[in-house]
Amino acid sequence: MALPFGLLVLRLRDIYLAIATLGFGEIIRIIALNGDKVVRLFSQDKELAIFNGAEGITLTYTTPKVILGLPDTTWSILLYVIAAAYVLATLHSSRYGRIMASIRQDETAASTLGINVVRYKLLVFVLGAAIAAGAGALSAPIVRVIDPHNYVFSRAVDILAYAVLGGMTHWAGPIIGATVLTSLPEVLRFLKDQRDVVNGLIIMLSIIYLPAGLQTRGSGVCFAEFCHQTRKSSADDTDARRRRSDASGNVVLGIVYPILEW
Amino acid sequence: MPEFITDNISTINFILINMALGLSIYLTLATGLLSLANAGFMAIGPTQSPSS
Repeated sequence: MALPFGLLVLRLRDIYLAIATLGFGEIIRIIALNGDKVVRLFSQDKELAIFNGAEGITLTYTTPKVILGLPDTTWSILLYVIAAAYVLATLHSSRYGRIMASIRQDETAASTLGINVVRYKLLVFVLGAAIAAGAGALSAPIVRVIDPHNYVFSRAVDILAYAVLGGMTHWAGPIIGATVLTSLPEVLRFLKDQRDVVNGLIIMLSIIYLPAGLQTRGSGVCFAEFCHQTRKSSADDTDARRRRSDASGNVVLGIVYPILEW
Repeated sequence: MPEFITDNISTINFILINMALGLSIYLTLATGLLSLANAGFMAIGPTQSPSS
């Protein structure tokens, strides 16, 4: 679904693209809310309920298997995050990462250099959509209720906030941002009524003093900086590393491209 | 440590889900695309899940 939608909306840029993609999210939510009425029009069964409207789809509770102290649902999402982070880290340090950065910095200059801008934009849009859909699928057995109200505009803004707070220039940024934004309300639970105020204050201060995100220099968390330092220490074999990352990037893209072509 | 994980398993699950969602939007932002469709795609995901 991301492919035809991407072909339509990727002609747009900046805020116009944001509005078009926001419209897509609302279309999905409204289909989930009112889809049953449309289905009943074409069905003989007038009691048919697929989406269940505002109540959503409730999954039956099954006790998850515990493997090494963690439920299997947690293991599946953990492995998924590790795999997604590996793919993005590979892309980030490969030729494709540099192409993505060049498109971000100047689209016209990138196309002048012979980069097929539309193709790469479509590729990242579809990859991003696939990762989001996978996260949605794996979250279903955890939350157990597929409710249209879980996917409203505020959810899209929350997702954006993870990347903005963590930093948008490194793959570790959204990971740090998601960890901080999700755990902060729980960590501040002892503050009771003042929790939301302190939570907002911490987020505001981090945006003011770390505008490029938590993964930049100066933050205590600094996992990305650690990765950068590790890379710097082996600067002698940069070319070899680049060739290796290009090769692994080719493997990843070699899997993704045939799917796109198909 | 195991007790900490067991007590906070719900928070850990949500952190992991949000990490995956953050990574999904990172790709588009790194290419200069401001896309807010990820919540919509996340809604489509469970319909393809075998558990639903």
